[in-house]
Amino acid sequence: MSSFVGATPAVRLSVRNHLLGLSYPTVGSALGVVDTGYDGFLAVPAEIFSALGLDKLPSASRTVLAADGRPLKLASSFASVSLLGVGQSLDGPVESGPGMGEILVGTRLLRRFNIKLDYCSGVFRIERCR
Amino acid sequence: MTNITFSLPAKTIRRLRRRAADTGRKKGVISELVDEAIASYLDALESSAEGQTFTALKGERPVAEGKSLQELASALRARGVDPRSVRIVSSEPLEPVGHMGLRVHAS
Repeated sequence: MSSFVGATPAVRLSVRNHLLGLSYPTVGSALGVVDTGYDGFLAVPAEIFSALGLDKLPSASRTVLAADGRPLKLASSFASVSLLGVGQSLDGPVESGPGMGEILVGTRLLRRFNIKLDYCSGVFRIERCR
Repeated sequence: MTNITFSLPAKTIRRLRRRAADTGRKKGVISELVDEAIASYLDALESSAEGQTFTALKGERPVAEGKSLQELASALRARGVDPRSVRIVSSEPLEPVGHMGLRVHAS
């Protein structure tokens, strides 16, 4: 299920850590902001990273550059992301770092989808690539 | 929606009913859970076809591999390996330095 939050495109999603059998959220779905400026797969706040048990798994880290050029160090582990209404679960790296306040859906995940943003009629549609 | 009939082991049905009860809702919950489970399984098969693989390493030694995280988790369980004791790597690693926030450079 996709929609605009204000003028920002967002998708309803859930994340599953198959290795520890943990999901976020445990019931229903959470809102992820579509962020084409983020080249990763999925970024989440620290409390969600922890709720998924990803902080308990040996993780990698990498540096990402913020829009102002500041380097940020992010922890990275793996999980499955299901986008509601799209009918597809995708496996990929989930990252987290200090100061992150919302879920970001990056271009590494979005590259599997056909996205239509129509601000004229207020329509945001996301579909699997054909 | 289409109605179909199939058989499941009693143990699976008990787990399914327990899970449905946990949601606190009544109508259509079991159908939703079955749909979600089957869709998730089919997704895992389809994402396998996309070629990404996940490997669990102890030190530098591979101990299990899967074409999806679900498959890797099953392989680790089958070998009795604690996922907390292994490092997972993907055949499609992230760029070592990434971007968070759009940066457009004038050329």
